[in-house]
Amino acid sequence: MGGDEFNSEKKFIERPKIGWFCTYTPEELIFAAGFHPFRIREEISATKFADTYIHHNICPFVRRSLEYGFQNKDPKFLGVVITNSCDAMRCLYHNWKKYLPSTSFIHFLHVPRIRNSLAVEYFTKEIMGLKRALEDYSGRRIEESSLHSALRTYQESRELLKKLYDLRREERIDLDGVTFYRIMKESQEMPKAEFNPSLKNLIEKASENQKREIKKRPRVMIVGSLLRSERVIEIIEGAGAKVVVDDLCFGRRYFEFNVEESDDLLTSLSKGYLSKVPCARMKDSHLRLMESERLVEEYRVEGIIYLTLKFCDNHLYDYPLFRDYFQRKGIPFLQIEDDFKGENVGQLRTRIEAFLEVI
Amino acid sequence: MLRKRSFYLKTKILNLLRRGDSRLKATRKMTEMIIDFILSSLKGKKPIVLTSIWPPSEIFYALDLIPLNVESVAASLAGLGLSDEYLAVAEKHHHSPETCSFLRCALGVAIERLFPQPMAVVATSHLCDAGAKMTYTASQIYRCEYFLIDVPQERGEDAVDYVASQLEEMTEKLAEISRRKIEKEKLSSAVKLSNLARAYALQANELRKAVPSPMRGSEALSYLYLIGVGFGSKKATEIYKSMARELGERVRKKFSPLGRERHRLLWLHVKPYFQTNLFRYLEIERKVSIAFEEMNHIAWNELNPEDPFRSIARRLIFNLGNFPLDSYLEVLSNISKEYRIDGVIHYAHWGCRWNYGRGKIVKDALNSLGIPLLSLDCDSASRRGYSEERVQNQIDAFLEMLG
Repeated sequence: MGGDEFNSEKKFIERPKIGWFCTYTPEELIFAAGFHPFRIREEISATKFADTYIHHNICPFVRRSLEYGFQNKDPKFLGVVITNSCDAMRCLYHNWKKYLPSTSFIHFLHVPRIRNSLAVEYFTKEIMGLKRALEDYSGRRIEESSLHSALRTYQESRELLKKLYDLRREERIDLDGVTFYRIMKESQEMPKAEFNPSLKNLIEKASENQKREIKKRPRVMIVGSLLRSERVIEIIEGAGAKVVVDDLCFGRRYFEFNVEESDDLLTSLSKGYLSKVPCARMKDSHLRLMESERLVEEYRVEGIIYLTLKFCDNHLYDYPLFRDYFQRKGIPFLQIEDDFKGENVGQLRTRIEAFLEVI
Repeated sequence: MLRKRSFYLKTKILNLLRRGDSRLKATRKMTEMIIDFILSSLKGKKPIVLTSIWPPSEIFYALDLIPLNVESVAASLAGLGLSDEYLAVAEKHHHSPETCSFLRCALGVAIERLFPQPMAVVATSHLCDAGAKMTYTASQIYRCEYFLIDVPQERGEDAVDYVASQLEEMTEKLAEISRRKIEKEKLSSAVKLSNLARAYALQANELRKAVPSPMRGSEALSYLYLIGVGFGSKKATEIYKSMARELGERVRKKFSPLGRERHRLLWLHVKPYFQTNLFRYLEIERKVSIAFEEMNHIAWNELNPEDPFRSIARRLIFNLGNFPLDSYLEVLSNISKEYRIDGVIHYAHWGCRWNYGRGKIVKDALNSLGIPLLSLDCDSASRRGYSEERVQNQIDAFLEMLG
């Protein structure tokens, strides 16, 4: 299970590619424009080019993303959509535009930090701007029918991923954490035309299973933004725990919302994407906290690992809020700061093992 | 209470003791304005609003509220040698030492509940993430309403509409919380005062093009509070008027506090607010003039008092830190020509991601114009890790390059 059917490296991708970084990017539009949208998440360990341009106290994910731009030789890769998710992403945009001028398509998308009718209206205009940019670039108009079809395809993907999480919560699917998050990775990289049927097939087989009692392991939730690789999951589950749920933008936040079809598709996209449970860059951190609390109850979480990227101000500022809240509730809480260097595996393992002993 | 009062008394005494130096009277008035604001807020006569830097200050003055900018408080604490104490408070409460020390220091002050109880907290999104996050945390500590004005990094009319609508909503809510009425005349008056301050600031900036420079850059860099939170207030307008008048007199008399200038520099970003020899070394010993600093550049057009929300929205959007990078570089290039700049010092405040993120691009752009840039990777609000010797060595090497 979770073999080559979920391996984008083994798939032939016909369409030219446009990369994206943040889950507030409306992939549907990129797809409807005739491109293959894929999430850039490179496991490059050294950033020899990017370090020349970006100071070392900027997010390691952004430095690796810029490095990807320098090292990428894929002839199908045409460009990127970069959102103003945070200061570091803004930096990525400036540096990509300046030092990678050979990238033929670079679009900067402003995503509101607030969620109300004003923001929906403004984000709709921003999405319209992205649509125009894609049309100008491709020389083709994005037809309504293409956009409707794209919306349905991506919404189907979200429904399937929600179902997968439900099956995992009910323990009706035998998937270790590494495989599970590999599937999540592929959901953001594989063409949906292949990913959706493969996942549907996996779910259908698992749905026939009965809910079962699994050997008791500490139930852990991961909260944060980015997962550098499944390595962290491997270490956690290798230490004897089970990652039962997450609040990660490489995990649930990718799909835990709906985009409803309507006569005004761009507004639908705007409303749908802004309806997501807010991430740390958004205004209302308490809503994020409430969602985490809900997940703790729903998934019977016994311990929380708060995974931050080094120099990520948004998550670093939220950390004390989360820590204090869950510690008052008696839920063990561990912070892991990831610098993406991969050199701290031994130390990480020791910390996690010590943390699990507390649970 | 004693602790709070002693901080403010200490500041006042220091300000008095420095009479007789070459500072403008306007600068001393500005320091008094800040202290008076803070003391007024302690007395509770007017509601206060905690703010991030560059808030829509005209609205606060129109509603007769006191804006207390968190970064300015941190800067003042750094000047008094007290910032490390509050940084330690924040870190003790699990706030990362990797974040901006201005905001972390201000957070320490908030955790200790040393700010007077604010009526609300207002932040804008456009300069930095940490400003929005710190102020949100402060609103949770003080259990008061939090407003985040989301300011896009683009300057079209859609962005202006978006920001203006948010400002209007916020103003209604602030009026409701403070039980004040939104009076159109007061808002219009605050905008007119903002325009007047802008005009005087432009005059002052124009006079500073004179050679030799009529004002020390180290002094001009202390105008952070005024440029950030002062527009719309009568006092700020008076201070800029005084500044323009005094600089005019100095230029007529060909007076410069530095005397001879060996080089003229442009200063990017903020300065160290703790006590340091940096400026004494640069300006007095090495006779290097900081002719201008980006912080005091007026990037917005005159506001329309009849259309206050859209005008103020434009002022927020047309902040140099919010400019598209190409436009920002064009401004730097123009400033360099107009002020006859030989070189640039970029004081890269540790933890300021948006500023660090474009550092190389700015350096390359200026180098292509034949203008060398020195980047000082230092902190602005904490002495920790700051080395006078290292900074002096870097300056010496830079000045040697300038010739």
